[in-house]
Amino acid sequence: MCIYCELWGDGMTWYLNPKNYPRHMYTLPRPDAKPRAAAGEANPGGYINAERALVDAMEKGPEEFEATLKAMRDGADLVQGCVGGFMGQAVPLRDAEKMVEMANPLGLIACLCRKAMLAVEERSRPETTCMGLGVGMLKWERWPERYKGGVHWVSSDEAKEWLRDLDTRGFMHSLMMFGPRFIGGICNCDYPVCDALAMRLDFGFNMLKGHHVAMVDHDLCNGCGICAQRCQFGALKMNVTIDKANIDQMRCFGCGLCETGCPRQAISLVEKAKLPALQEVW
Amino acid sequence: MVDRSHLKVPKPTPVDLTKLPLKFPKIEIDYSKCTVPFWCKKCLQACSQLVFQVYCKQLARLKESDPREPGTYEVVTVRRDKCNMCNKCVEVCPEDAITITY
Repeated sequence: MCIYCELWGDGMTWYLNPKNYPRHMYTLPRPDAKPRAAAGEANPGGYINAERALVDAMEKGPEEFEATLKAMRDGADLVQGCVGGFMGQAVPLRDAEKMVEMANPLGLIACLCRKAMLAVEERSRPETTCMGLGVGMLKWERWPERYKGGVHWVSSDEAKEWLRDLDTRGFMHSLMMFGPRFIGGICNCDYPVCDALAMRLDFGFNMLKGHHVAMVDHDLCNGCGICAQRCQFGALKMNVTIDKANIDQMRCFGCGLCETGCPRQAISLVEKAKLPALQEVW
Repeated sequence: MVDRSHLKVPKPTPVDLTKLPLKFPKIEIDYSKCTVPFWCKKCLQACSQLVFQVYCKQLARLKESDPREPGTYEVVTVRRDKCNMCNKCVEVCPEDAITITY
């Protein structure tokens, strides 16, 4: 069982448990309260500094690297209180659609990773690639000059359409958390640009694999190779000998991009709970 | 710090610890020349390995600074471990602010 389900699932998949969506997190400060420093104001580029420290530690030696990695995992540098420093989980499109039905309000926002990596400012609604769930989005609406682009409110049906559109374009969906337990949004990532995904694939932390793995039906597969273009994790390769797709379930994140891209429905998502050897692979 | 050792947190380490320490290229940016990186963004777009990241240095409360104003944003080298020294960022930089040494 995934660690989040163990902690917060109450017997079901944790991100489908309505208890884990924030409803009372946005509070107005008392009039006599001292103004707090906004996140990032005290330490601008805090996340970037942590990543740079990790790369610098790799030059120093294994002991320094492990110590820095441990500090980041414990959440001392990154997100206070997140278990093990993990911040998200890959979710397939069908579960993301269930999530947007459950959460309210829904707001489309600009992606912070793409802003830091490529200096892309997603200022209009068709450009947005990130979705915030819950009342925290009201803050983004209040200060559009602080959160560039502001927030575009959508209904759950519009959000589903938006998710399907991004899925067609080849973005992998993942949920993100604002602090422990509370699901704050749905990211749409691709490998080198998404910071969380790059940290996971290069250094091994920050994001959990999903609750599913993909399986190929070789009778239906015609070897068109569309799925291999869409896999972000190097799990799906074309088996050239028999000219069919081949999926490494140990590497598969269960994002379901290959399933939604397959024109012949040859790929299906199987629940990890049915595969005993994958229970510890997260 | 809360003791979480009883939880089965997966510990994958794709970095091979036996190969450390590794040597990475050193990328130096002259910040007296590079003043408006968010507006210019040529090195960010030229790099195939996405070594650089840009962040807002002067974050005022509830307001983000104008990217056209010199000195508000800063480009930094984050993933030096991925740099392949193709020198494309050095070529595209209009201010010749980047130097790469190994």
